Amino acid sequence: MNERMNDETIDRIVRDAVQGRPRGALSPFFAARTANSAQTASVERDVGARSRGGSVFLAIYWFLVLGTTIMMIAPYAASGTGRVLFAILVPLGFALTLYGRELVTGLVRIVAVRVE
Amino acid sequence: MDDQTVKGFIETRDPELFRAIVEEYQYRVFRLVASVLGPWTDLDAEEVTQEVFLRVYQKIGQFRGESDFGSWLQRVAYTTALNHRQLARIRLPHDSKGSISIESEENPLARLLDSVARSRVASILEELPGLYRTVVYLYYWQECGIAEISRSIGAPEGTVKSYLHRARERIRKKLERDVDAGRDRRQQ
Repeated sequence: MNERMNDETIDRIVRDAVQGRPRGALSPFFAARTANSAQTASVERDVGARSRGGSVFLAIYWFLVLGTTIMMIAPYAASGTGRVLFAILVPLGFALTLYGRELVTGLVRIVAVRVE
Repeated sequence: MDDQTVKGFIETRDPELFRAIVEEYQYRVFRLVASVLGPWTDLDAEEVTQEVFLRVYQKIGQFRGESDFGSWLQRVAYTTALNHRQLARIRLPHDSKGSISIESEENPLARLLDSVARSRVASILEELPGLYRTVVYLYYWQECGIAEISRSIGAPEGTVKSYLHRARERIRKKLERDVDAGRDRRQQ
């Protein structure tokens, strides 16, 4: 290699390579749109966190209530009545743990309508 | 942007203050994001810029005020854009012979060589280390001055000049190697 490319040559080569590629631009209402999106996302996050917190609380509540009930009837598990009670309470426990929140909300709504 | 606006936003989360922050920094962040992504990605720099600001909104509690807010924002922007770039598809220009018109008044062979060279330069630029590449794109593509690049990447102007110099050296070495290889082939 006899000659060495100087900085001007490199500048021109690089400019040639990237020129013509769209540089892009921000839309006119970018700031307003971004501020709105941030606020909406923040509200959604808060609601989601509260909802998750409520579900966890209900799951613990039903776990304790049903756990205590099952412990109380455990001595009678050997009898026929005990087995029937277990057969009812265990699936009920799972259902309430998973859907307790909806069940309670539904019951409250039914009661509220009756009272009205 | 005065510190009071940033402090006020951290304390109150007032959307109007956040909007003022976005208005102040949007173009700087956009240029940085676009340069990290590069001219040949299939990503929309505006969308990534918006994600940067949404992250800032969520993580503003992590900003301790020990450094300049602009530098912190620049780090968030750089990291976010780099993560996107790693998942993006890079479409380098190809030296399509179909784009060369024989009826052209210019020399078709010269245009073909020019097209091949442009494609090769594009791939050399894409092979540069992340920070060098970003500085090169900011300088040559986004046409930012040294002072502006310095603010964008949060480095002193001397460092920016040094990055540009080292990037040019790498480009030069690769191009000269290509030229030498081409000459050797012709001589054989």
